[in-house]
Amino acid sequence: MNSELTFSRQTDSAFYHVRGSRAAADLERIYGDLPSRWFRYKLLPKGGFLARLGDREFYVFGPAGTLPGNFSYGVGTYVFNRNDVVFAFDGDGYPAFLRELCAYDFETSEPDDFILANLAGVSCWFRVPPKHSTQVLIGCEPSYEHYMNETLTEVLREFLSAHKRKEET
Amino acid sequence: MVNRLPPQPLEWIDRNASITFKVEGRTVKGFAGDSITSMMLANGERVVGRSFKYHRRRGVLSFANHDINALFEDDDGTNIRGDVTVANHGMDLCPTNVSGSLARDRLQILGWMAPFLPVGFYYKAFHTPKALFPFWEKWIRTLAGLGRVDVQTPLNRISKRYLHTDVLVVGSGPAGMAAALAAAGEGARVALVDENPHLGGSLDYQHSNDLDAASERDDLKCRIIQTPEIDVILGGEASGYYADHWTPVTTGDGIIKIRSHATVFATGVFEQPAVFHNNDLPGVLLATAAQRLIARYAVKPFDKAVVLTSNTEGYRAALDFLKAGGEIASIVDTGDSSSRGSLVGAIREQGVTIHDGCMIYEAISIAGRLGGVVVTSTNMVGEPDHSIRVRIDCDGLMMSVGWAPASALLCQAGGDLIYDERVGQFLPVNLPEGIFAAGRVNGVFKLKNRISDGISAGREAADYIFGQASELGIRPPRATRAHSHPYPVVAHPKGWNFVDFDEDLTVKDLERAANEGFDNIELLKRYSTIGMGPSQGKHANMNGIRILAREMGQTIDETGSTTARPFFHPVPMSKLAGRRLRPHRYTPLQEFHEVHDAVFMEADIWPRPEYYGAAKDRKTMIFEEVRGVRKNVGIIDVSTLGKIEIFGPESAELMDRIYTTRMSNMKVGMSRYALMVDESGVITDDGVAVRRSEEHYYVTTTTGTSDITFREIQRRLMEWRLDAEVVNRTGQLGAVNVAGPHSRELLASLTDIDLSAQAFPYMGAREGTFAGADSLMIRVGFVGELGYEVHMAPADLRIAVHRIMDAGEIFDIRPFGVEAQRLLRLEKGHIIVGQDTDGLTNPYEAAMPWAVHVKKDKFVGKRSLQILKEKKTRTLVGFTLASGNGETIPDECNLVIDDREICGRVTSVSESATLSCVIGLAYVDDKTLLRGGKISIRINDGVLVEAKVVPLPFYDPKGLRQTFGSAGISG
Repeated sequence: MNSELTFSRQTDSAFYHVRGSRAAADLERIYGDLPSRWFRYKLLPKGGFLARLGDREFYVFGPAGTLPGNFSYGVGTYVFNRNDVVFAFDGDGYPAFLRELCAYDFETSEPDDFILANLAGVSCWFRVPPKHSTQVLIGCEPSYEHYMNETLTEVLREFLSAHKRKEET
Repeated sequence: MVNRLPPQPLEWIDRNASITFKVEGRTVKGFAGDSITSMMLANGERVVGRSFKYHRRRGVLSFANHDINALFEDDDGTNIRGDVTVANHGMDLCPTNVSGSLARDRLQILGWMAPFLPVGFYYKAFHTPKALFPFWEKWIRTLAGLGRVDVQTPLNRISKRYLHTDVLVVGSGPAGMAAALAAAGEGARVALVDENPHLGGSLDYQHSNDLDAASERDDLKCRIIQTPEIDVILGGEASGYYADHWTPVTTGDGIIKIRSHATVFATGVFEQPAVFHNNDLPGVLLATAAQRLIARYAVKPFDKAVVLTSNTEGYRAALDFLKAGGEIASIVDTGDSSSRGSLVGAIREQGVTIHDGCMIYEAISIAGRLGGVVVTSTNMVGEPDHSIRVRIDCDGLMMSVGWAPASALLCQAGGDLIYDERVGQFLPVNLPEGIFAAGRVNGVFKLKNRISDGISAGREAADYIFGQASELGIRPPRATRAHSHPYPVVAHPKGWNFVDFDEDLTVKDLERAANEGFDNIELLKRYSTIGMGPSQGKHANMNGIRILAREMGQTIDETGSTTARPFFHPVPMSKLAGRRLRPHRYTPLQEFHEVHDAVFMEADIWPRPEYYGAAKDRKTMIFEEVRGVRKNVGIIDVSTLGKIEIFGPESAELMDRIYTTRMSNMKVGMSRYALMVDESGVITDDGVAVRRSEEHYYVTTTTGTSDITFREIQRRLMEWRLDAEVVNRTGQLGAVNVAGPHSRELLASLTDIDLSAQAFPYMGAREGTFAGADSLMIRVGFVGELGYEVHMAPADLRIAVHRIMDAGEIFDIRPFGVEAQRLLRLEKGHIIVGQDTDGLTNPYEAAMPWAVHVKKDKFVGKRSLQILKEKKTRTLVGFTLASGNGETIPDECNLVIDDREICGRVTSVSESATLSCVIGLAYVDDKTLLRGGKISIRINDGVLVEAKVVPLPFYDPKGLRQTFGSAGISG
């Protein structure tokens, strides 16, 4: 395991929750093919991604402008801004770390999985690392920012020091 | 260390690291790796604890984590198990259940009182005279229970983590190791868990001198270590089994919650004691306990031993003891030694006498410890035959009369047990899918067969998870002859023949309980408390079942066994608590509140300002905040309200069905009070519903119910299959309420929305920019003044609030907290769901019939409300108290009394900051209300105070202020 697992906050990104009967058709016109299965994502330029949560439900994440403001959505498409706090963990030890706080088995996840699970008692989304990457993105409602930041920082510190002790012995 | 043996090949101790600790102030010497009691025994101590009820001297019994008479405590913890807890240098221990010292326990006198303390005596005594009960209660509380809880124990945050695996194998004995290797060999990820700090299980103590086993042991251990697919967790107790293959494993570092796709239980068996007079004397122990002491800790438990045996394992234990330098005075075989195989010859070669067909009738106490045993022959039904009676001097007795399966986890997993007369043991049957048993718990006793059984179980588990068919019938045979005596219980006129060493229960206790009518094993357990001590019956239940079966003339199968529930093994509360994760949520205005010196209170998981001005008097600050809203303008953070978007072609239909109020006829750009009830008509939530477009609603919920309400709407949506969607935006948006006569004037300068009364009427809702950002404004009057709620993105709201505060300076704007809001609402007679309602309140009782539109086609709770309307017996009413001095103000939940009977209760009450009186809300029986306009409230000291029932609201009854703002004031 890479004991250099790093933790950072992702800021200055735009995040949209797109819902409705026309959501898939509208997003397809912008981004081309969409993930065909639920809880999968596709990468967008500049570090963005589009995740499918249902037949009519999507998350779009990326730098400002990822979802064109002037795009003409059809009747039946609803776009809500999300203001999620987003954390990034980078390092191949992230599944071992997440086991400290999350019941989901990240060892078995695929590179394009988008997972909704409970982390430290809070509903979160997880964008597992794409191929050739070890960075997992984790997001939750902004009202949990203080708690999550405090908890993840503390548990990661403990986790890394325990891992270091284990390596030393 | 008088009893320390020369180095043993598999010992756990490190002879290069000497340690010492203290027990009752005495220094005990040993080595790193020693357990507390192994060190005490190595130093020649025999008495390691006192029994629970009679405070009898007790030594070690099993050395298998169930020696609950050897419990200790120090400054860091209590009920430390001496048999398995690794001794640390410098420990300063006291035995747990001792009044005085191990050598002299004052409460030993209770033994003399035994005739007055029969089983279940506490159910029959202490009832009368009632006046004496406080005395008995104090006495019982002093004597009962084990250990001492130190409430000053520092907070210890212990990790509670998860582990996923394909196959979990519990037990790392020969069957468990073989199962793990077989499953891994099939390509499965495996977790192998054992409570001991070393692999090997019984291979390392029951077969420590067995040359054939040595090669198997080395091979299995070596392959386990070399197999990276096997995650080995040692020192971890599988504490329970839960649905979907969840198994919590309690380790020194905390609990690991293991989720597997299949589980193999290779948990082995517990050796069972024989029951005879004085079978609890120090020096009487299980044969495996002696083997563990010798093999693991190199401790010789005594010098001269008698071995009581019903199987070959007893002979092996005798040989181990001889090899360790001990003397075997005699072997007492309950059956025929000629049927025990080749080990008997090895024993005879050493000149040891064997008494066939005999039992131990009693153990003889010399100075409180074993000095000898009396052996008698047994007749055809296993009862003592005193025609032959031999006394043998010894200082140790090793009992090897049989086993009970460690099957609790298997039962928790849904497996059944049947008693197999041939094996003499309960065996698992009808195991659920994905659950497998291997080894001695499965009735397989020969070492090679146990390994084969493990291999088969491991392969079956792997085949199960990979969806392949397993070959059936390839399991090795179970034992063909019993390894357990069918009834190792000997009656004795003097009693003291203990069945349960945890609870000091004797044969007589159980017989008496059965004769009193507790003739079912579950009833017997609860009445007698057998199996309810810290070892949870691991050494007691099997003999208890045998005794009950014999008393009732039943078979063991007919008698059955008790239900095995988690936890299989006690789990410290600190480990259950784990890291004590306690999520909290901050609104976007948390910093604003801190800067303004807020005093916070908990509202669900949100810290909310109770009031502002921490350094000042609470009541003064709250009243000033209320008056600020009434006279000028105030601002309150309402970001904690639930915020839910409901949209789609059938959203209006959904809204009509969810809420009691009709929503489909609401105009776009308007809002309406939204009341939610459950199927039984009980109020569950309220808020405001806004119609944003024909097919789009935005609803708020109370602070604590946003997630519940969202889930309920989603569930209904799926149930009704309506073409609508729902999104919970509670944490995605922030909101403030700006209220007071100057609110319109203040906000008009910050928004492009026309706030005039004509353009933006009461209960209107408008979307536009506020402080330069997108917003939704709702004109609500929940504090009874002209007011606006502003809903925005969190970052935008932070900026907007600063702008509001700046612009509001000329109006003396001030933030107000939850307490001021409660008082403002109370003055207006608005209920707070959860405070003025409970789990039974319907809208008619809450004086809100106007919020129920029964003419609607259908909505949740409609039928119940139709019925409840006719059956209403109480009503929420407003009351005032003329005198407002603090001593006579009722508290919330004080009772309303009518003719000495309870006829209601107060739900909200406070001095009014606006009106010069005390105001409150109370549920009062309608019959009482019919009798007049006054009610009596019994306040906390029992005094009745009279209150006047008045119409609601208390303040601005015509609602002019909230509807017309400053025009209403002047009007």
